[in-house]
Amino acid sequence: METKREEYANHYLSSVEGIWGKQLIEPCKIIIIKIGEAVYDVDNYLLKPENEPETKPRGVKE
Amino acid sequence: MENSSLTISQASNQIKNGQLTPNELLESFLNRIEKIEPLIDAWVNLDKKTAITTAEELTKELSVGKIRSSLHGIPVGIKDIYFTKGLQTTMGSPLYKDFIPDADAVIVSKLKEAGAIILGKTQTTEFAYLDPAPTKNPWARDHTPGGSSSGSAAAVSAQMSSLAFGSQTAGSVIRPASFCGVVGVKPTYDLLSREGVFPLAWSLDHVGYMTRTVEDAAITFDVLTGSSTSAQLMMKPPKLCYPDTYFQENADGEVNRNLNEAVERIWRRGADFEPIKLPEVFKMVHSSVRVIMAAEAASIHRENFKTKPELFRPLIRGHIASGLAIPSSSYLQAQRIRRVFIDEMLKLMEGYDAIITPSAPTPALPGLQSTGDAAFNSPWSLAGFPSITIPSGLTIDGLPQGIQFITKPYQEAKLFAVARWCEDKLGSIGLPSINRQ
Repeated sequence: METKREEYANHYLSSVEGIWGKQLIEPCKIIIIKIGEAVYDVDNYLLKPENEPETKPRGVKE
Repeated sequence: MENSSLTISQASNQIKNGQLTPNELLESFLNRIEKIEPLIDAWVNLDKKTAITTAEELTKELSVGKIRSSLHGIPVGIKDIYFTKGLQTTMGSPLYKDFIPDADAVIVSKLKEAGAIILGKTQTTEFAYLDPAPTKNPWARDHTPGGSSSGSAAAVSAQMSSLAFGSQTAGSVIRPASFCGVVGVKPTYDLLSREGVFPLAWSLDHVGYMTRTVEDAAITFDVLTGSSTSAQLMMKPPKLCYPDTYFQENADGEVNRNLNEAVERIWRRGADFEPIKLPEVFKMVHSSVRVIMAAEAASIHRENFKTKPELFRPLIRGHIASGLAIPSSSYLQAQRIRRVFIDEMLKLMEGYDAIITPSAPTPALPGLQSTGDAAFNSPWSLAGFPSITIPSGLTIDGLPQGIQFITKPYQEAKLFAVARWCEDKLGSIGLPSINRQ
């Protein structure tokens, strides 16, 4: 899990670098990696069926 | 005793009784600022001229028996992301160094109507994110005051103001208040208007403020909302719950020691404590905050970021750049996690007056480069639940520590009552040495 998270974060960093340029992004690496990890966490958490939140509109009966 | 050391409650009573005028109170604060500000750097700018004119008007009103509210004649500091009509508002950014709003933020307007005197603008980190302000901690000037409401916390701590407004997106009121040994309040999401306050992430941004006592916090809340929480401060010992492992595992040794001591003192005086197990979804809370904050900040700054990225400092720059790369589906997933977290916490808090946690994982950190960690505050910003920090003791090195209370939404009366009861039992932590100068 940890390795996948890091892998994703590095991939995320490289995609952001690709858009904004290495020179501009270099001093911001720590923050971008943390946000990359967070995106990974959020996406993966909800992929697990037991964590899928209710998706039907509120107040709608079965 | 200098008038600048009076609490809002004391100053307000003296003003009502004719023992003190707004002119005299303002003069005391301006003298204090002149002496202390060069050491602390809490203010971006002061509006002395308008403050003096306003104090004169309020003193005249007093002479004919007109008192607008409990804040009549009370000087106030305003974080430099609140729009103030005719007064420079920089957001801590070179992009806005010449910006002068043509209208007040709703809160500023309400404060003026209530007879508060706007002293000036307090330092903020850039766009209320993490790139630090120049402010020093009045308890130890080589330590951070926390952020992002750095100047507001330091100004109240150093007795340059008895009330100062800040904002919290993750932990920007509770953390600096705790680091500077003052009371910090973040009411329920949107209970205090955000209109005219420059956003960092609109669905997480809260208006909040710092005072020296819980009573002052309740008085301020009452003036701004028309409530009567300050009349409900006395109550029986509270029933508190504490989350079982997360906070303990992520707090440093000094913080855990202080919390244990504070809990024991409160418990001995009759408060009830029970452990609670945080819901499974809690482990996704901090990631969700990061995703929502970055995506919303990117949306706010995208135009300026495209054309002038070099004018953003590194941490906010990384935040915006990565926010622009977050897929919309991830942002929406984070908002769904938020909904689940709120529902689970509401169920869990049933039967308790409040949750108690440390206010921050560490005391104020050495150096001015980092403003500290918001991890203990951001869950409650995500949920929109009201929270408050009160000073709870000192570290071995003499730095202040705080404990945080959280209630369900719109239970500010209970929040203040719990905090006041505990404040009374814990006693004062004293004043920073700078206040003896």
